[in-house]
Amino acid sequence: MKNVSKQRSDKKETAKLMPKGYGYKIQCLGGRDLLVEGCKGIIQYEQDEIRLNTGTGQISIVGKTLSIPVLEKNFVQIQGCISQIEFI
Amino acid sequence: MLLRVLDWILGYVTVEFIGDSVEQFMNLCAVHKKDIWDFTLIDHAIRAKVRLSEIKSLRALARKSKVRIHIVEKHGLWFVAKPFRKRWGLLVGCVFFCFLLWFLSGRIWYINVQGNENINIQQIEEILLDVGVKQGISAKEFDWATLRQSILVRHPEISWMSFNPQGCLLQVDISETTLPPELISKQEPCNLVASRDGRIVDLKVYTGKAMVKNGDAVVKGDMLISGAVEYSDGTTVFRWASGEVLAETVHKKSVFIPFEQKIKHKTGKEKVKRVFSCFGVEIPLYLGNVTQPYEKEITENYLTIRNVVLPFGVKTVRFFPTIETKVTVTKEQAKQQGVEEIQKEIENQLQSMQVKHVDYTYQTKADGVEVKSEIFCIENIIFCEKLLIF
Repeated sequence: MKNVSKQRSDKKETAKLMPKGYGYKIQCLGGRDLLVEGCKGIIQYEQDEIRLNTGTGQISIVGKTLSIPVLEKNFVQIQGCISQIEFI
Repeated sequence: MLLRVLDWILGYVTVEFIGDSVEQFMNLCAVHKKDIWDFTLIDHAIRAKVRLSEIKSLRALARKSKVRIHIVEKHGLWFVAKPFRKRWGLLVGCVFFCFLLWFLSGRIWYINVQGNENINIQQIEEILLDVGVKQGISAKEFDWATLRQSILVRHPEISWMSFNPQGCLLQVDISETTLPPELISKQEPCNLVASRDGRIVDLKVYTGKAMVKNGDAVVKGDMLISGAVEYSDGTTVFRWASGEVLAETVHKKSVFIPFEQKIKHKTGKEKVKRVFSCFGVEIPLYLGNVTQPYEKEITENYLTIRNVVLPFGVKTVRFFPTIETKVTVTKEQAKQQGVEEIQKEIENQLQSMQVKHVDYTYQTKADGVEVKSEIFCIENIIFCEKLLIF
């Protein structure tokens, strides 16, 4: 939870720095945590795949035992053993 | 950690969302800023944690997205306390406990005094008691600076002191005054006379006129140094006589040692009784009393946290029952005991003088031995006697 609150404050900071014209931003931390800012929602949630709506397309995150500790408007945190990120 | 505690206090539930459009439901939750976190996928459903206050509003969203909500686990203070909601006694007890904790934690329960050397703890405790400082007082009620000042004014033997209340501990630091030697008025003329019988071995005259010389025998009250000084022109001046007169003196002591003696000794048995001490109130943890004569040892064990003694502890009293037995001592043993007793008295009472030697004489009686002693000492025998001028 502490990480989450930190990430929330970080998110505001990075949102200011994010150049205009880019719809979203992805941060991958050690292959265990994935932070997606600017995503419009979840399209599909499976044990080994999560698909996110970015507005301009989709992001497919493939891995094992995927979970979503934080889900907010325009922000998703995904945890698990992430093996592949695909932009569709 | 703190957020987890907060979560527990506010209460949350683990819920399962079952339906075909769970993703839509999750998006709705995110858009409506619902307090919901930790989504994990179970075989047939998605499990998440929801704040207790959000459950009702979540059901409306679930209906909209055709998802069923099933509560799996309940966590938090509310759910722990719920089974006890009809037990008012527990609630009252909890409230009382919190009140007691708040009330007692604001009070002084241990007073630690540091820095005293000549003034003993009992005297300091009495001084503090006079100004109202004792166990159980509230630290906030006192103006420590004013209190400190009033004690310093009243007690010149204390040169500096400070009060440092730290929670339930009151740290009292003291610095003692080194008092100047008492000045004897030299305005009033006086003579120095002999305080006891003796033979003078050393005579030092600082002021006045010597009336005796080395080797002279004097009796109690004889003038040693006169304060009246006559000059060659016939004038007399009355002065404050001072000096040092060492004389050989004799002290007599006698003790009677009976042949039949009662000796007290331990039986070898031991009785242990414990007393629980709580905020100065002692609660006995035993039944009955020790009736026969005894010797006792007391040990106190108080709870401490970081060298701070708490007002809770156990006082252990060990009673050693004693019995008296009659013993008959021989004449030689009685003499030996008599000599030992006299030697103890000399050590205790005649510390200020130099003991040259001791002569012992023994007088045997029907029921014991009387040991008489003559203690030859060298001591200062001067005594100041005011000179009366008419």
